[in-house]
Amino acid sequence: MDDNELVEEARNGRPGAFETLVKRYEKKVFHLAYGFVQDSAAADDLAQEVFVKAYLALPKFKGKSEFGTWLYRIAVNHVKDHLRKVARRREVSLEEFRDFPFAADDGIKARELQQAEERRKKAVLRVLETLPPKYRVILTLRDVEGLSYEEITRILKISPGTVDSRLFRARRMLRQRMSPHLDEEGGGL
Amino acid sequence: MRCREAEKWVLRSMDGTLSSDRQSALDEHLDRCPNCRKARQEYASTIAALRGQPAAELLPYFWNRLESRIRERERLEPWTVWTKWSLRAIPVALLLIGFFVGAIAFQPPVSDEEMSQPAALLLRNANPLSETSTFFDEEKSENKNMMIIFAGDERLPGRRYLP
Repeated sequence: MDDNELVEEARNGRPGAFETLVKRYEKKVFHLAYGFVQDSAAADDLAQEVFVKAYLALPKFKGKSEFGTWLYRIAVNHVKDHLRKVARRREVSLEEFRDFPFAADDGIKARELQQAEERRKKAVLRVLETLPPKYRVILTLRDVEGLSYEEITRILKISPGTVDSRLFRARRMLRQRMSPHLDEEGGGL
Repeated sequence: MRCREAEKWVLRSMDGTLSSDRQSALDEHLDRCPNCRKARQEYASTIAALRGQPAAELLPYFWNRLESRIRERERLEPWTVWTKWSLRAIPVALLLIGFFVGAIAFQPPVSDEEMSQPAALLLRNANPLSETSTFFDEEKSENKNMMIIFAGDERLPGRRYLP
């Protein structure tokens, strides 16, 4: 049974229809939320709220887009609201990872290289948190979640040209903020 | 090629959306430009760090927890029932509005005889305040009272007591 049929059955109150939809998309929505917050409990809470919103909004779903795209749109908007609220409460300090060794010397051992890479992964996420929400959203969708340009266009309801230019500005800002921590060889990746 | 353009093409190249002729032009530029080579290295490092994030595991009993949350939300927010039924309620609301508009439109007009004196005066384009001001201008109290009595008598429309 495809998504649209399940949506129709869920709207008509058939038990199990919405549960099937949830089980089909729970991992994707959870991973999307995790890509933004990097915390399992917070991502779980966000994902649950996304599905509650979707359930309550089911009567408004017209089927113009695919259910998955519609659900992703709800998820992205919900996460954006969450990020705005969190941004008001928290100022991220870059000082705490300023001295991380992002690049390894020639003689460094494999284990230390791996540790440096782990630190770089954490650092890039912390820098990502400092970006404006619209840049953070597009970077997460493209570079963390690996969605295609077409999928991003449909989810964010923006033109392919806007996706391209916004992604460029977002990556540029991220690189500029990461730049002090990257050496001449770009961190050795 | 300018460095700004090369920067855009570097990112498109990483996304695999750069055409082959542009890729050749970019490679030529990168051979000559150390700044753009550095930028490419930094972009590659940053994007690789983003793409290589460890995957998290979904927490258990997701549906069971969600189901109770939905039930709780429905209990707390009865307006959600309205949201569900609002589309079906629109034709009923339109029917009711049509009924009231029709009732008002087909109601017979109010006749002149049923009007109050101020309303009748207004309909004749006369000022009811100027009519009553003469009462207050009268100095003798017995004349004033007679004028008020005559004005209040519905059987004598248009008649006035003249002292």
